[in-house]
Amino acid sequence: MQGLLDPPRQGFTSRNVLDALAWYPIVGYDAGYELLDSQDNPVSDLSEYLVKAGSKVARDCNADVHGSCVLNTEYPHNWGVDRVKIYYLVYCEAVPLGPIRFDQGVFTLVTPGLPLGTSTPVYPSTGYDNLYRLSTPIGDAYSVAAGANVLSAVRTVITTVTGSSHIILDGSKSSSTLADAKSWSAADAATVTWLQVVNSLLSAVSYRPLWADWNGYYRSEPDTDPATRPSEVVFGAGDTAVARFIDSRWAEHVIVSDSGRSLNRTAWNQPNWWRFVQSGLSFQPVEGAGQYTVQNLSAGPTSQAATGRVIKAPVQFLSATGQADLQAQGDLIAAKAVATAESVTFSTAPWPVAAHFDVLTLADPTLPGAETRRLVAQSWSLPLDGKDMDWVANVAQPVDGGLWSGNAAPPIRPANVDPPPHLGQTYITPARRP
Amino acid sequence: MYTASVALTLPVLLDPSNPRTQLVTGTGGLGQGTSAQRVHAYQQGGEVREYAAGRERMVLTQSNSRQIPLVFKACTPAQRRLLVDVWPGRLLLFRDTYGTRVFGSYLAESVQHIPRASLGDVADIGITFQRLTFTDQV
Repeated sequence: MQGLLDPPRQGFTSRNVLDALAWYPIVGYDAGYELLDSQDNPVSDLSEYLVKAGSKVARDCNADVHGSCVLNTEYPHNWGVDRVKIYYLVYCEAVPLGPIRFDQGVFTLVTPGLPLGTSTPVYPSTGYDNLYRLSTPIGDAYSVAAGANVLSAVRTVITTVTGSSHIILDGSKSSSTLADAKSWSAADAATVTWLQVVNSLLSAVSYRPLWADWNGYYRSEPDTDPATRPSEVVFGAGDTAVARFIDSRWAEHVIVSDSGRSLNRTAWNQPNWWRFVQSGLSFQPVEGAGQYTVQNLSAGPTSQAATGRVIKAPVQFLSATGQADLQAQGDLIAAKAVATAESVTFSTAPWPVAAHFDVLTLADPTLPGAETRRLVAQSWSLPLDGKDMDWVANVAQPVDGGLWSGNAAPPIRPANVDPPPHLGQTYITPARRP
Repeated sequence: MYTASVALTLPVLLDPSNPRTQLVTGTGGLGQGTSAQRVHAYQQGGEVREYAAGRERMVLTQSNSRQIPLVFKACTPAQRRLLVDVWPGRLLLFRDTYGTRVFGSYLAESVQHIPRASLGDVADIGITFQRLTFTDQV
């Protein structure tokens, strides 16, 4: 999630931003976009050409290219070449400094339409974020030698292919090197993209696949179990213990839509057994040496205990630096798989600080089993005409019991339910209003 | 230097690209009828949105429309052609005795024929002038 006071919001206070996004009873929304040069610097503001109705910014964190936009514009762009930065503005009379701007990413407009029969056409165009620039086939054989610095190799690919130097890679693995060479043959050149090359390199150091942020910067950081990541925001949807604990005026600050919320479960052969094998070994792997098996015996509704059977996932070969790395990667994959068993769809008021795989807490008294769920946002869609935005989020720690299992007993609070979030982790209610 | 001043007695609608083409509201071409009403309707875009737990929040949009209903009384056939066939969808300028200058246009008009043979083929024509974002600054 973007920081509340990340640029260009340095001149505001957290209270300003929270007033505008959630607290104050009257708010106004607007949006605009800028044409950028080859280094993503703004050239001119084209907001006057933007037709906000039907325009939107969206993110699917599991797609190849995560960020996309639908831009209805009267400006005849150089389609497929022009890059634009879309921004969202929030007006609030409690914030006298003026509208608060939230950048939404850099997009290449690639699929315009030309309406016929009108003298002033509005071009409905689809754009993709800066990952799009890496989504081209490598075109020839490519390799990275064993012993090469992984993050340097990633930077080299990004800079060479896109010309961009806007790269933010977490430095915790800055000295990690490749244990084995990585190579892509000429036979793969037509199907393998530079983005896949980069993500393959990043996975070698257990980094999250590359993503492009709200400024168009390329980012990656260590991948972690979503259940262990702290919640960045609490969305309250009613009277819950969490809401009362962190905000005495919670009822005045609700931005979750009243309708359209649903908790969804995927029960179709969700695996509860995984086997991971280290690729590139020169010996036969056995458990504990090049092989790692994980079983979900009792956690959540897809566990072996809950389903009464063992559902095996296909064996996965991982590029790992050793047994410990293999186990770390395997545990992460298994944890993510468990977290996909349940998802929540809901809408909120525009929350333009949304970013990539945000961790949210939904406090909703109508949730079965427990009134809070820690969620990992999988996708969201922000209309540019001020309408509410839609979210789909996985439940990081599925909760069994209650209505799901047909249990007629009163809902119980399982031991693994989130504790009340720390105040420092919440955006909506970090402090009580005077 | 020659300075001309114009004293408007009634609201007038004119073609800014050819200011001589103008119509005075109320009087119409035959100089009959009553003065135009001075009703300007303003509308701030927005809605009251309902959220969970009964929270209600007013959400504003940037639109702030201004509509001016106008009636041209007893228009001649030439004026009727101007109002019905030429001006709809064209950028026009509204001026009144209070110094108001509003650029805008209109799309629909209501024509009420006056069944009095002594007046000839005349009609009252009503439009709703819609302000548009435009300035003539150079």
